[in-house]
Amino acid sequence: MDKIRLYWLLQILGWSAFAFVNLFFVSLARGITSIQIGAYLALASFYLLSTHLFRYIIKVHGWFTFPLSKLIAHAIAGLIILSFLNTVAQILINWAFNTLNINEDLQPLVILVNLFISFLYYALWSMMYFLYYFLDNYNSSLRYQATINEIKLNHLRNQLNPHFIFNALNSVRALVDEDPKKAKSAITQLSNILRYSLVMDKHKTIDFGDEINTVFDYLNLETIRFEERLQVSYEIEEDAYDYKIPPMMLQTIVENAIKHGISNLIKGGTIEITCSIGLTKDLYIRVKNSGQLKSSPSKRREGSGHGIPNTIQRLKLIYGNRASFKISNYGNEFVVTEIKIPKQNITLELSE
Amino acid sequence: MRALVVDDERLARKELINLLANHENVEIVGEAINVDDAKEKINNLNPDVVFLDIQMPEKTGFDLLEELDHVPNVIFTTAYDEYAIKAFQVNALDYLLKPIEPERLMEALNRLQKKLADEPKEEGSNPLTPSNKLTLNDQVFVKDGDRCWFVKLINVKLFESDGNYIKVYFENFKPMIHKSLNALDERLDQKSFFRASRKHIINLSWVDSIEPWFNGGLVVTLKGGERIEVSRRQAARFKDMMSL
Repeated sequence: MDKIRLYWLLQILGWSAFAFVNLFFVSLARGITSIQIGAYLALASFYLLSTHLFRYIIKVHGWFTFPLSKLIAHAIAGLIILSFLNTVAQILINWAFNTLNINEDLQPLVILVNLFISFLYYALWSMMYFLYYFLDNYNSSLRYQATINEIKLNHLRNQLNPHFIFNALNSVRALVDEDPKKAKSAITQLSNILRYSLVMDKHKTIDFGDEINTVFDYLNLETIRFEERLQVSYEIEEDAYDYKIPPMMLQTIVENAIKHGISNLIKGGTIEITCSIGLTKDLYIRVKNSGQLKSSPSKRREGSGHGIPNTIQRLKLIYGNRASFKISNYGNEFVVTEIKIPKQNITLELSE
Repeated sequence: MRALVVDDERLARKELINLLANHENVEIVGEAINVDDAKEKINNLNPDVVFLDIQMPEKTGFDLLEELDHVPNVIFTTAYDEYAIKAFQVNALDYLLKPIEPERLMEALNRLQKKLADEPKEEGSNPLTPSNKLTLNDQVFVKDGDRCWFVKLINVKLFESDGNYIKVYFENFKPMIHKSLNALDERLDQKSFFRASRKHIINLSWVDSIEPWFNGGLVVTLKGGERIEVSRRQAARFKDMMSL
């Protein structure tokens, strides 16, 4: 990964520079000896290793998920411990290179100055490290926000599409006379969908159950509208409910399956939704619907151009390369869409 | 008036028929569930008005109108279709948004009633003669990109073939329809329209002046300035017709 390479590059360059600058000034004062070179390189290596250890602790214990005050307290405590270790290391290095002057180097004032100087170095390192992290994070959250805004816009324009809402209302109006009970439940389902689509964009990911319930409601309504022309089947593993998924993603896929697939077929068709857990604990969501993808992308119907790239970008922003999205024709009568949502872990929960 | 309801959804048809039940002067003569079904029923039943959904499987309501020779009066129904609505508004076509407001339906019916009263249809009464030619009072449906029109043939001055399409000249527009000029020529009433050449059919009531041309041909100038060459072979026939 690029970030790892950048990290090591900066570590090595930074601490080598530390060693060389120190050596330069020492050489001005006292001339240069191989012992000094060895000692400063050893010290620089200690800085490098100790900061790397620090970074390891930060990552393993998920310091970035701490609230700011807790993070600062931990960071300062970490810096003090590091400075102590560093001061001890300096004495050991001097001892190893036989330059330890017990009368001078072990005086409390000298030790205090050494402590303070190493504290400054560590503080500088931490500042850069945390700053980089926050800027990078801010940047990607901006990009995330931009994509989400775009999705919202497209959504308003054509996804939870008004065509669906008004058609649903129209069917309900007819249903009021024909089957008042069904009409009532249709109204509830429609309100659920509308409510969900209003609140969904506040979260990066939501419970699988919330999304799938919306899909149930949505397909129930479309079944009222299309009647025998729409056959729906579900196969959902119980464990899928433990996952969190990006909101409106499955819903959008299902809507497109209806809009571009079943509603264009005189005889109608089927939708099959399968959610299963893979061997490596990834969640696989698969939608198989009647219809065919149009082969010529230039002749795409209005609106259908946004959905797929948006979905892919969203998955990438949330999960990096660990998620995947595929859509393709399945034989001559079906289209299959498959999403892989990676095994969940703590770092995903920092949505806001 | 005799109405045909075209919509692929049963509940949508039911809803509209329920609404129409309040109007005594409307008789539902049939329901159609897709474009091919509708085409057949329009030809057999010859309704006064077609309530036409736009979004239907495989073919849209617009496709239906483009396929019809005889275009009946149409009231479009749609749930939501930005493009279609824009097309309607530009050209003042009548449309109803689903779910349909009873008042809007009443308005649309009144407007249609008025239109039907203004132009008593003679041809319409014998639907069983399929050889029925299109006369000046008939209308065609023309769609060009975002826009669409019902054009009365009396307003069309010229048909010009252009590859597999025909350019229809009326007012300041010349949208294209996907038809062959020969097929159209067979459908048009010979008293009103004249096949001037391989490329042109002109509306005789739009002829402004006629000049002789090379080789015994003619050039006809239409009101509005288009100059159309009449081939030598057709020129003699043309003179016959124009001299009565």
